[in-house]
Amino acid sequence: MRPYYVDEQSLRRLVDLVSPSKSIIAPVRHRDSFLFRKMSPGEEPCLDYSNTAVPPKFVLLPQLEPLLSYDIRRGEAKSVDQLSNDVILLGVRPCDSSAFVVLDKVMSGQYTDPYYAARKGRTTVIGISCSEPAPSCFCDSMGTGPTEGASDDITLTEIDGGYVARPRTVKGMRFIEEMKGVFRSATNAEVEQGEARAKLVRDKLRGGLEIEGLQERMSAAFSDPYWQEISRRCIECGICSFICPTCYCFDVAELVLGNRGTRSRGWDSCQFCTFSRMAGGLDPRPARSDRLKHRFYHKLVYMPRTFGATSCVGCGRCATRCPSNVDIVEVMLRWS
Amino acid sequence: MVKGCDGRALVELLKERQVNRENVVVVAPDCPGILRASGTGKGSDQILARYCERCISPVSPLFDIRVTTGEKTRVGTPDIHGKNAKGAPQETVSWSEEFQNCVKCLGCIKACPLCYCTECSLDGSLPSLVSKLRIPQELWTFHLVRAMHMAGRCVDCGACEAACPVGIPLTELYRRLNEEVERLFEYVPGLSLESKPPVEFPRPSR
Repeated sequence: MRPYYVDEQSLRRLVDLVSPSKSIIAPVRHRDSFLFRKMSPGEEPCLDYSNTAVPPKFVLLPQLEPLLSYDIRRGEAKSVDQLSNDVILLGVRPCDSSAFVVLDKVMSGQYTDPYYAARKGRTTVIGISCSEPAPSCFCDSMGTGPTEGASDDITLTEIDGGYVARPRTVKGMRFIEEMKGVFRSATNAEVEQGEARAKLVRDKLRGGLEIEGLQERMSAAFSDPYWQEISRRCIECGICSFICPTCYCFDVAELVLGNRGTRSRGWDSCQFCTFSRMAGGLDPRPARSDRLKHRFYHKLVYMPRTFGATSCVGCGRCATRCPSNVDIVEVMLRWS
Repeated sequence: MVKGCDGRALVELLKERQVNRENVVVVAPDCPGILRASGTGKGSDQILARYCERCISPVSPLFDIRVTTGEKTRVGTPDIHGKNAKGAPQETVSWSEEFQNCVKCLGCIKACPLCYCTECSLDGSLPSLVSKLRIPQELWTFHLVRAMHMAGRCVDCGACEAACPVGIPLTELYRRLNEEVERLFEYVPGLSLESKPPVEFPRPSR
């Protein structure tokens, strides 16, 4: 599909230009970092950011999702209405966009999760190429960036005064057609500048990680004392899981007030000691080292084995935000 | 090897009988404070953390071996009634907004040197005051229960705030509660082994 051009001002004002039936979720500055938020009228997104504190996975997999509500006295239960408006997810970095592919494999592969599928169907992802990768970024090594995300419906590449917009799916093309006044065909010069910028950023990231064969080597190292050693630092919080764009594990809880109740599911973390504890107290991962090891094996061994793809996209969040400096890159380097 | 705030935490843990003094040798160097990134991406810089700027104890009040470069420390000697303690600017914080960003990763709890309960009332392991899931209506309960447990115990080390992935200024909250405890009970946590913690020995000042 041929490339388009959108100027920076129009993109900033997108929330006022799209139909009010659509909501726009985009990054905004928050204290020393950035967060994805639903834009209010007149609000401008911040597209000049390296990475958000929390990834946009909550758009497809909300931290709390009511599944059904019930009335105990009446003996009635009904499923909770699923989201009905379209979502434009604007300004997604390639790593986070590629993370949706991992979520897709889990949530809509052989068994489709209707809640996830409904959200996915109503969401248009407008990705944005990176211009300044952070020192912690390693998307190039994971094959998930830095210039286009695998789930982008449209990919934006910054050039002077605006962006080259490449539609990648029918959904993306449809959005551009809806917004005819905002997008116009890109000139050859604009496309060339976009390509030059993309090359520049690819050169900035030089893949230093060799993940070929990592799965096999880690499989053989399951009983290595390394895992005990590295987990001595871990403080067993859930930061790494909650800020990971591909962690999808959830718990289901009943929230009952009087006779009425809701059954909801919400994010959980395999790093919490309650995560794998079963009725009767049996726990297949009783030690802290078992739990931390599980996180790395799930991402780097079990996911490739089951779905044919690593579930680390190289965003660098867990490595930079871990209070005790547990670093997934360090782990990969150890076994690469 | 402890920073000033870690040493204060150790004092509180000793008073709460969580550490056997005979099992530890405490080495106390001068602490120049912790640097934090002032922003992300372009133009980000390293600045002294807010809680370090108002530090009242750059050297551990408790030690067996004192290590010093001989240079004057950044803040000087412990001065709990000086400008560092009282003059530090208070930030206006909209707590509803801050708590709405909370993802309930429990980072604040796990990073805190004074959180040591094996069964926590906030982590969702039964019986619990709040759900394990992030219920928006429960976020105030979650944070205020934690704040009440920190009142008169928090040593302002900032570990919670440094851990928080969404930047909730938690030390601002605990610090205000500490000020109330100091006003009512004349108690500042972690400065001496002799002063009695108000939770154990309630002694309203008047």
